[in-house]
Amino acid sequence: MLKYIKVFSLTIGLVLFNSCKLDLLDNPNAVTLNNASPGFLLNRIQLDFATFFNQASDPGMRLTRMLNQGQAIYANAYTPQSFDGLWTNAYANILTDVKALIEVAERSNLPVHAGIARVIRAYVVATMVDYFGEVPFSEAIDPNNFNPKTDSGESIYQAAIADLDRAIANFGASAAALPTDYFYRGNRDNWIRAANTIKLKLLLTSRLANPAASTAGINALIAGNRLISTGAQNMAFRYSSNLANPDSRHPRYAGQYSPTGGGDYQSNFYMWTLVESKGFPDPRARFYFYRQVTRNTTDVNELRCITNQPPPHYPADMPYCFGTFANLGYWGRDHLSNEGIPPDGLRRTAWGLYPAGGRFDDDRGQPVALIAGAQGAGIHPIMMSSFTDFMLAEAALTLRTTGNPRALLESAIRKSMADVRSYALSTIEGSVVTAFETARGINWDNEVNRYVNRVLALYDAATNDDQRLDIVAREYWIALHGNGIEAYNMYRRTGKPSNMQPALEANPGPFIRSFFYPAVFANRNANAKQKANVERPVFWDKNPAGFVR
Amino acid sequence: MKRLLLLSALWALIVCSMYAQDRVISGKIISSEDNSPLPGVNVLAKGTTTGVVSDSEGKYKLNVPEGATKLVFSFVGFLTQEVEIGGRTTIDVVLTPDTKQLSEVVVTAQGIVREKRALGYAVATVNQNAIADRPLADVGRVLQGKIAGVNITQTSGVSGTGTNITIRGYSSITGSVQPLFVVDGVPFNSATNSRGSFVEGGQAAPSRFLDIDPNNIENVSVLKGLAAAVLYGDQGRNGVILITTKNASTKNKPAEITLTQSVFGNTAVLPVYQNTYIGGFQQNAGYFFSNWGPSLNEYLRRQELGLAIGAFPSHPYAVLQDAGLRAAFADYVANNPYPIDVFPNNVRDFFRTGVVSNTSLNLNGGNGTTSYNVSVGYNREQGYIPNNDLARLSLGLGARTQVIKGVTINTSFNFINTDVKTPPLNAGLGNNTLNGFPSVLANVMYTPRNIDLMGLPFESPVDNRSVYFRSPNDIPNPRWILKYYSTPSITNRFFTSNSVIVDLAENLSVTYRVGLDTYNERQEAKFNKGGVDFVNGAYFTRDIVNTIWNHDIIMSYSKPLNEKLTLAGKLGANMRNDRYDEQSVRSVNQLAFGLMRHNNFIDNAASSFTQEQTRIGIYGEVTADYKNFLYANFAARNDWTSTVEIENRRIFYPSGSVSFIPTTAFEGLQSSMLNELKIRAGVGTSAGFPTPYSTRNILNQNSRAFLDAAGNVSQTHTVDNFLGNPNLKPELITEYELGVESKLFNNKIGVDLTWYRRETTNLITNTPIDPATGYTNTAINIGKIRNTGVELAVNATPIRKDDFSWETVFNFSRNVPITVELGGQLTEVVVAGFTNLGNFAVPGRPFNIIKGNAFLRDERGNRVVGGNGLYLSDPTIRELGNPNPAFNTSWINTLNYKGLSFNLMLEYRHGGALYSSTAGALLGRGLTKDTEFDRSLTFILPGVKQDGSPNDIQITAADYHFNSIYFFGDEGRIFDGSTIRIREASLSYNLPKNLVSKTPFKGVSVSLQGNNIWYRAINIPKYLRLDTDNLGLGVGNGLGFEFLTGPASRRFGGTLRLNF
Repeated sequence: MLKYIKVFSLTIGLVLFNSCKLDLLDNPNAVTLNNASPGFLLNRIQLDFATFFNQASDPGMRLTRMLNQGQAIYANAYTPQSFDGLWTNAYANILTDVKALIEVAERSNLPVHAGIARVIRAYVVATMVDYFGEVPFSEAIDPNNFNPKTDSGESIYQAAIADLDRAIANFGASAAALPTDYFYRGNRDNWIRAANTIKLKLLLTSRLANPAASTAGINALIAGNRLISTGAQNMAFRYSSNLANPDSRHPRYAGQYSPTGGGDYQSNFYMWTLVESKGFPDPRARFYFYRQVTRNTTDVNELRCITNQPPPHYPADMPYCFGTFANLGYWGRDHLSNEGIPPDGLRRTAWGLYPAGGRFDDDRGQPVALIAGAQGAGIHPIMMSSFTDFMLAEAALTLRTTGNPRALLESAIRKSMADVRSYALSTIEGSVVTAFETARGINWDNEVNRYVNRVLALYDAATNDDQRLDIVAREYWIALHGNGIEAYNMYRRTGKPSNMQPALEANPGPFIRSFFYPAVFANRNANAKQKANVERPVFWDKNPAGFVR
Repeated sequence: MKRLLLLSALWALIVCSMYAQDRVISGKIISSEDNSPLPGVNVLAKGTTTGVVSDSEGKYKLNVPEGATKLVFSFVGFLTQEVEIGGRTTIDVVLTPDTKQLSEVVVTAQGIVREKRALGYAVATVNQNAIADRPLADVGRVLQGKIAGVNITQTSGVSGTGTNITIRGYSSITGSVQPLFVVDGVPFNSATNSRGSFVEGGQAAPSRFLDIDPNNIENVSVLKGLAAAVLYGDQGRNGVILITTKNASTKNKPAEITLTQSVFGNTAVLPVYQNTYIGGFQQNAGYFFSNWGPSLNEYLRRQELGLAIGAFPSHPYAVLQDAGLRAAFADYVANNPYPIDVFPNNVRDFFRTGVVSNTSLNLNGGNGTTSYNVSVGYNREQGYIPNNDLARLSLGLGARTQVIKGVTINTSFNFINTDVKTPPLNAGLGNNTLNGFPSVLANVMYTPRNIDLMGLPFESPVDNRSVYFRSPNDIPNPRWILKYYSTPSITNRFFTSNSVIVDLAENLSVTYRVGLDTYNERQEAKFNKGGVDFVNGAYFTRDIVNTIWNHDIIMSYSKPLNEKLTLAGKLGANMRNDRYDEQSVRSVNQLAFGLMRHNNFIDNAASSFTQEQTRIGIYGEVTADYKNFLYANFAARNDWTSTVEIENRRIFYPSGSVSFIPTTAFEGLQSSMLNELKIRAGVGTSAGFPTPYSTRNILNQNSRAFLDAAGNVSQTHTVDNFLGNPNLKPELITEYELGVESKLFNNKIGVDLTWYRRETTNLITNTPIDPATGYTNTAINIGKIRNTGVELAVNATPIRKDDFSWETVFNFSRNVPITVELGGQLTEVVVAGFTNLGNFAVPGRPFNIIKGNAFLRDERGNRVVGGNGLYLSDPTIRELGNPNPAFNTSWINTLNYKGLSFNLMLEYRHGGALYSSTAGALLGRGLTKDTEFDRSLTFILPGVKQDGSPNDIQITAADYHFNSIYFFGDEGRIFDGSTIRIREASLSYNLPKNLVSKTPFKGVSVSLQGNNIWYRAINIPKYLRLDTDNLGLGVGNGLGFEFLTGPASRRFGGTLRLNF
C-alpha cells in the first residue's frame, strides 16, 4: 500500500513539475511602468486637462446662467455623484501622471515637460479648492495611504503658486528635448506668460482672504509685464474636426451636432443679455449661439412655457421664456428649469462657432448636422488675453493695483472681440462669416466700436465702484463664454453680474457656494466628511450667507 | 504519464496472474420488477478481486478462485445480494430494486458515486425527465425553480441571451459568483463573454452553458455547499453543477435508438394597452414619445369644431424637422390632412410567434466489456422578435471499454456549433437607449397608440436612413433596426473528457482524467449607417478563443477495518490551465451601405487581449463508515495559483462533514411513521483567487489618443487607474451547514431540510479607493459577506393506487445575504449599475440593496413638493429597496394514470424589489390599460409643500405620471417583485407495450408541454404583465433591474419520442 502511495506521489510530483506554468504574473496586454515615455505621459496629461477644464467649466456655466441648469432647486442640481468623474480625472489621471512625469523628466533633463506638467497641476488643484474647499493634497497621490487627509484651501493655493514659480524656472532652463505641446507648440515665453496669468488668477481669486498679498503679488506681475496680453499668447486647447478614431472634436459640438440634434440648452438670460439688453445685439452673439430656427415657435408641444405667465417672483423686466425677445428664435431655457424634453432637438438654439466649433449664425435657420460649421474644431478658452485685462480691471477697482480700470475694461472687450473673430476666421467656417458680413454690409470694427462705446457710456454713468465693478464683471461674464470656472469664481467673489435671472421655483434653496464632496471621496476615504449642505463657502469666499442667489 | 500507465498495466497483469483459477460458475441475472435481464451487474467472488460484469442478456461466467464461498451481485439502484456458492456451477439471481430513497446514490465531487445516506452535506439531483424535451435551449433556464437554493434568472425572454445562476447567495462583492460547470467529470467554461457593460449591449451575450444540449443530459447533480465542493478547489466555491451527458453514461445494454422531435411556439407576453387616448402631452395631441394626448374622440370632436389640435393632422413624416427627409417622403407631406386613428395592435404585430424545434437522435449499446453512445442534436429556436434565431448542432460520441482486466477507458467527444442571431439589446430607461448603443426594444413597448409602427415606412427611399414619427427623427425606427442592425455570435466548441481507471489491487485504483474544453466565439455587431446611434455605421468583431486543459489523477482506496468500520481514502492532484485570447476590431464610418466588411469602413482600430492562469492542487479525502449509521468525511485541498505573487501562492483549506442515521443506530426508533432519519452537519472551506494580473501596476497606452488640427496623431501613456497589490492573497470562504433528512409515513413523504451560513472573509474585492490616492481601485483582501439560508425539499406521494399516482415535490429556499463589513474606510461599494442608481454593498445592510434617486422627504417622512406641485428629489441617493427575494418556492406535481402523465410546476417568489423601466415608461407615458382613467381630471400628489403645509397644488395627469412619479427620480419605478407563476405544465402519454409491440418501435411517447404559461407579479399594475424574471444588468452580481431588454417568453408545443 505504501509503495503505491510513494509511486503515485512521485508521479504527481513529476507531472506537476513538468507543467509548472505558474509564472504568469506580468500582464501581457500592457506596457510596464519602466517603459513610460515622458512625451506620451505629457500628451495624456494635456488631453486629460482639456477634459478636466470641460468638466469643471460645465457646472460653473450652468450656475452662472451661461447655460441652462436642468434641476428645479439648487440642492438637486449637483449630487455627490455628479463630480465623481471630475475628482477621478483630477487625481487618478492628471495628478498621478504629473507625478510620474516629473520624476522621469527631471532624471532625463526635460524641464519643459516638467514645467507644463506643473502649470497644469497648479491649475487643477486650485480649481479643486475653488469647487470643493478643503481637498486632499499633501497626502494625496500615495499608493500607501488610502485615506489621504484634506489640506486647507489656503495652503493648496500657496502650493499652486509655488508650483507655478518652479514651472517658470523650468521654462528658463535648457532642455534635452521639447514635448508635443497642444497649447503653444513649445514656445517657452508663452508658457511663462500662462504661468504668470494663472498666478494672477489665483491672487485675484483669493483677494478677499488676503488682500495685501494679492495686491503686492498682482502689482509685481504687472511690473514684470509677462502676462498673456495678445491673442497669440492665449492659453486655449484646440480641437480638430476628426470625427472618429480618435474623436477629437470639441465635446460641446460632439454632444449637439448630430442628425437628431439635442444636447445642451442655452440660457435664456445669457442670450437675452447679449442680444437684447443693450438695445442692439452684441457682435459676438452670432458666434456664440446658433439658432436652428429663426422664429419663435407657437407650438406649445415644442415649448410649453409660451402659454405660461412668468412666475410671480420674477421682476418686471426679467426675460422669461422667449420673454422680451423680438421674434428671433433664441430658444433656450430659464434658470433651473427641470422640464422634460419635448421634440425640439432640431429647434433649440445650439452652441455656435465660438468656442465649440459649430456653425456661425448667418440667419440660415437650418438644423444642426453631424458635419457642420467648423466641424467641432473648437477651443477651450482657458486663459485668454481679454481675461487678463478683465482681471486687472477688477484688481484696479477693488485692490487699487496699478492700471486704469476704464482703459483695462475697454482693452479687455476689444481683445475679447478680436479673439472671437480671429478664431472664427481661422476655421473653415470663416468664409461663411465674411460672406454674411459682405452680404449684410456689416463692418466689424463699427460693430465693436458701437458696443465698446455703449459699455463705456454705462461705465461713465456709474456712480460708485460697486456699479463699475458690476459693469466690468458683466462684460467679463459675457467674454467668458465657454469658461464657467472663472464665471463661477467671480460670481461668488463679487456677487456680479448683479440681477441675474431668478430660478423658476420661488424657493430654490441657497446658492451653491461649494459643491458636495464627490461620492468617490466621501464614501471611500475614512478621513472624508461630507458637507451638510452646499452653503459652505471656500476659503477665499468671505462673503456673507445669502450673498448670491 | 505514460510510465505510470505502463506501470499500472504491468501491476494489473501481475496482480491478476497471481490468482490460480479453479471453478467456472455461470448464470443469468434478472430484475424482480419485470423479469428483464440485467446487463452490467457486478459479480464478485467475495473476499477476492475476481469478478465480471453481466452481458447484455444478463448472463455471466466467472472463474471462481479456490476458497471463495460466496458471490456478491451488485448493481446501482438494486439491493446487493450475496449468494452461497455451495456445490453449484449455475447460479441464477433475481435482483430487487432498492426502493428506499435514502440509500439512493448520487454523483458527488470528482465523479465519485456515493450513497446519499453517507453524505454529510446537501446534494440535489435532477434527472433527465425534468430536463429533456423542454422548449428551452438553455439548460440554465430548464433548471429554473427545480432545485432549492439555486437561484436562476434570465437576462430576458429574448432567445440566446444570458442566464444568471447563483447558489446559496453571493460569495463575493465584485468577483464572479457563478457556479462551476463540470461536464462528464471535467470543467466546462460557462462564462458569459459579455459584449460590454449593460449600457454597451451586454444583454445580448449568451452564457456558454448554452452549448449544452439539455436533451443530451442524463442527470444533473448540484453540489451546493463547500463541504461538498472542496475537491474542486476555488472553482467550486460558488457551488458545482455536475452534468453527466448520455455520452458519458454509457450502459452495457443492447443497441437502442431514440429519436425525439419536438416543436414549440414561442411568443412574447405583452402589456395590455389602452386604446382611448392618443399620443401627445398635457392633453395636447402631438408626435411625442408619450401618450398623454387627448382621447381619440375628443381629438376628432375638436377637429370637427376647428379647434387647435397640435401638430396633427399632418402625417408624422410631413412635420419632420429634417428637410431632406421631408423631401424623400414628399407623398406623405402632400397627404394632408392625415386621418388620426388608434392602431391597437401596433406593438403586438412587431413581435412574432417563433418556432422552436428540437431534434435529437441517440444511439447506444454495448456488450460485456464495451459500450458506446452516439448523439446528434439539432436545436432551432426562433425568438419572438424577428431576426432573433438560435441554432445549435451538437455531435457527441462516448465510449467505455475494458481494455484488459482492471483497466477501463472512458472517453467522450463533443462538438457543438451554436449560432445566435439577435438584434442589438441594450438598457433603456424609457426614452431611447443609454450610452449611444442601440437596442431594438428601447422604444417599442411604449409606441403611442396612434403610431402605425407596422404601416409606416421605416427607411428613406433616398439613402436608406431610418425614419420615424418624432419630428427631430431622434428615435431609431425599430423595424429599421431589425433590418439593418444585428449582433450575432457563432461559437464552435470542442469538448472532450477521457479517463483511464486502473485497478491496482483489491480496493485500490487509480484514475487519470484529462479534459479539454476549447471554443472560439465570434461576436459581431453590425450597424449600418443611417441610424440614430452609430450615425455613420459601425462594425465590431471580436474573436475569442478560450481553452481549458484539466488534468486529474486520483488514487482511491477503501478497506473494511473490521465488521464495524470501513475506511476509504482518496488522494488526488489536479492541474488546470485556463487561457482566454481575444482579438477585436472596431470599425466606424461605413462606405457602401449594407456591406459589413472591415475594409468597407474608413476607421479601424484593433486590439488584443490575453489572460492566462494556472492552478495546481493536491487533495485528499478520507471517509469512514461506522456500522452504516455514522459516516464521516474529511477532505482537504492545497492549491497553488499563478495569480498572486510567489510568497502568497499557496493556500490550504479543509472540510469535514458527518452523517448520522438515528433510525439505524437505535433499534426501535424506526417505525412506519418514521421510516428513516438522517442528521448531517458539515463545515467547509474554499479559496478564491483573484483575476490574473492584479498584483502589478501597468501603464495604459493609446496609439491614437488625439488628432490635432494639423493632422498629427498623438500617442499617450498613463498610469493605469488600477493599483496592483503585490500583497494580495487568496481569500478564504467558510460555510457551516446542518441538515435533516427524513422519510415518513411508509416512505410516502420525504423531507430534506438544510440550514447554512456562509461567510467570506478577506474577500478579494476589486475595491474602489479614493481617487485622491492616484488610483480608483485595487484588489484587496477586505470585507465580509454573510449568507444565511434555509433550503427545504419535500417530496411526497400522497396517492398511489393501482394505475394512479400523484407525486409532488415542494421546494423552498431563502437566502439572506448581508454585507457585514467592507473594511475600515469604505461606506459603500457599487456592485452593479450606475453610481447613482444601482446595487450597493453597504455594511450592515442586505447585499445588493438598490440605491437611487429618491423623493425629498421632510423630518416626518412626508414627500415634499416644489412650487409647481411636483415632487422634489433628495439631493443624495437613498436606499430604495432590497432586491433579494424573501423566499422562493416551487411546487411540482405529477399525476400518472397508466401511460398518461400530467405534470404541473408552480412557483412563488416572495418579495425582492425590482426597478422597472418597462413599468416606468409605460405608466409614465400613459400606455397601458392601468392608465385608462379620466385624464381631464387634476391630481394632487400626496405630501407637503416646502413650508410644511399639506400639498394642495393641482397638477395634470401627465405631470403626475411623467413629470413626477415615473420619470423624475428612481423611487417611483421601484416595485415589489412577488410573483406567482405556472412555470411548466405537460401532458404525456406512453403508448402501451401491447400496442407498441405491433409497431417497429420499442417505445413510443407523445407529450404536450408549456413553459412560463402564466404569471402575475402581484404588486405591480396588472396590465403591464411585467415579468420579474429579468436581469437588465446582464449576467453578473447585479440584481433587481429591468431595463426594457425584452418581455417574457411563453412557449407551447409537443414532443414525439420513438425508441427503436
